[in-house]
Amino acid sequence: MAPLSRRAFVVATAGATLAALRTGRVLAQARPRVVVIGGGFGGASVARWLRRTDDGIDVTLVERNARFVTCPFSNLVVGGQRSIDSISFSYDAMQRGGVDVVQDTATAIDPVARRVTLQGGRVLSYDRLVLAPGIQLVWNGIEGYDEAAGDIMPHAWHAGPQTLLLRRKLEAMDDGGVVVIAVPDNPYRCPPGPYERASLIAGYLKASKPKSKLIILDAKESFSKQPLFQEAWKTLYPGLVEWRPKSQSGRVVAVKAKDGIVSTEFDDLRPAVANIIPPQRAGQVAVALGLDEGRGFCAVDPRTFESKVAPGVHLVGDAIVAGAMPKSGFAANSQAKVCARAIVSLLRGRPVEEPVLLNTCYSFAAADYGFAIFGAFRPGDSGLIVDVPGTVGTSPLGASAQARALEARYAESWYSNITTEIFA
Amino acid sequence: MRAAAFIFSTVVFLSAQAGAATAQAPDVAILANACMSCHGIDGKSQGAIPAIGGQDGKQMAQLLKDYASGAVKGTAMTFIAKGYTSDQIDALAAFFSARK
Repeated sequence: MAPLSRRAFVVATAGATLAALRTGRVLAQARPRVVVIGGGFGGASVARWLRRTDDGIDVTLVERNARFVTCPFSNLVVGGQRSIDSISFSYDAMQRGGVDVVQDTATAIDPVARRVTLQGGRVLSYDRLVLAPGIQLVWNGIEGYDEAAGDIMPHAWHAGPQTLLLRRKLEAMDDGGVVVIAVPDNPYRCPPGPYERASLIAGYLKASKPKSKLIILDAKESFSKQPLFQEAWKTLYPGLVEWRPKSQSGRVVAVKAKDGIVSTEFDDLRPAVANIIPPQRAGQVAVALGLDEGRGFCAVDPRTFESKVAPGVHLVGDAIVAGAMPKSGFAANSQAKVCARAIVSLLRGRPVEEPVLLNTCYSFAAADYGFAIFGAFRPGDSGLIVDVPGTVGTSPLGASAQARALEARYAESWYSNITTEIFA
Repeated sequence: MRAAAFIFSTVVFLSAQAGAATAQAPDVAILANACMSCHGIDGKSQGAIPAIGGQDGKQMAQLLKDYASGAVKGTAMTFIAKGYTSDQIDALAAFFSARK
C-alpha cells in the first residue's frame, strides 16, 4: 500500500508542479535557486559546475557528512596501499567557490511548493532540485545480511568506516585463512570494483599471508573487464584467486554472520573474512519520493537528467537508470556536468544542448598494474543513454608490464584531476 | 512610434546577434567539460595524463582525428576520439589550445 500511495502522490502533484514551474520562471529572473542533495561525485559536481557555469544562481549543497570518502581508490585502502585520509575530501573549497554547503539531511521534500525541509529545521526553497543520493544497500536482499551483519561481514561498498573495518579484518586474519567476496547481480555500483578488490586483497595475501586463498562468489556468469582481470590473476597471483560464477554455486543466498557462515545455493562456506556486497537500489531520498517507480533505480531524461516522474527534480549518478553508462564516479561526474548546464539553460530560457557523455573506469590489479574500460555516450532515440559505436573498449590483453604500469599512473592522474575538479 | 519601432527592431537584431555569437561557445563547453574529468580543469592535468590546455590546436586536432580513424593507437583516446565529429574535434582543440 505504501508504495502505491506514494506513487499516487507524485503523479497527482506532477501537473501542479508544471504550473508552479511557470511561476518559477518569473522568480528565476531574479536569482534562481538550486538545491542539491548528496555530496558525492554526482551531487558535488553538479553544485560546482552550476557555479562555474552561471554565478548568478544560488546553489545549496545538502550533505550529511563533513567529509567525502571516495569509493574509487578505496580498494587501495583495503589492500593496504593507501590511507583513508588520502581518499577523503572536505567541502571547504566548494564553500569558497560560492556553494552554500549545509551539513544536514533532508527529512521532507514538497515538489509542488518546491521546498526541502532539513532535519536541523531549515527550510530551503528551490527553482530546481537535484538528487544525487547514490545507492542504498538492500538489507536482507541476501537472507540474514542486515546492518548488524554488516558489522561482522563488512560490505565496504560505502567508503569510510566500512573500508577500514574490512582492512582490519584482513590484518587480523591468520595466514592460511580463506577470504570470500560475495558479488551481487547487475545492476550495482562500480561493476569492476569487486574484482579490483579481489586483486588488491590477493596482493596483500601473497605478500603477508601466502598460505591464504580468496574466493569470489558471484551472482553472475561474467563480469566487467573479465579477461583482463583473469589474465592479471594468472600473472600476479597464480592459484590464489578463485572465481565461482552463479552456475558453479557462486550466488550467495544467505549468511549467518554470528556463526561465520556464507551460503550459496548448494554450499555453506566458513571463511575467515567475508566481504558481502549486497544488492542495491537508488538512495533513500529518491525511493521515498517514488522516483524509482518501485523499480529500484530512477528514469531520467538523458539530456537534462530531469526525473520522468517529478518535473523540476533532477537526478544524477548511481541512483538513475543510465542505459549503457555504468554506475561509476566518473559517469556521475560526466552526467553532473551535463545536468548542470541543462539546469542553467532551463532557468535562463535557453535551448538544452546536445551532450556527449564519457566514462573511463580504471582498475588496479596491483599498485603498478592498471587497465581500463572506456566509452562515449549520448542520448538515444529510446530515451535512454546509448554508447557511441566504436567508443567502448578496454586496454588490450597481453600488454607489457610497462604498459600496465603506465595505466596505473594514468589512473592516479585521473584521480588527482577529477578530485581537484570537484573538491579543490 | 517610428522611433519606438526602430528601437524594438534594433533590440531584436542585437539579441539575435548575441545569440549567434554565443551559439557555438556553449556547444563546445558542454563537450569540453567532459574532457576535464581526465585532463583536468582547462586541460591542466596533474600527473601522467597529458595536459592539453594551451597546446597547439592544429596538432591536437590532427592527433584526435588520427585516433578516431585508427591511424594512431593510444589507450583511452583510441576509443573516446571516435565519439566526436571532425567539427567537434576542431572546436575542442581550439577550446583547449586557448586555455593557457
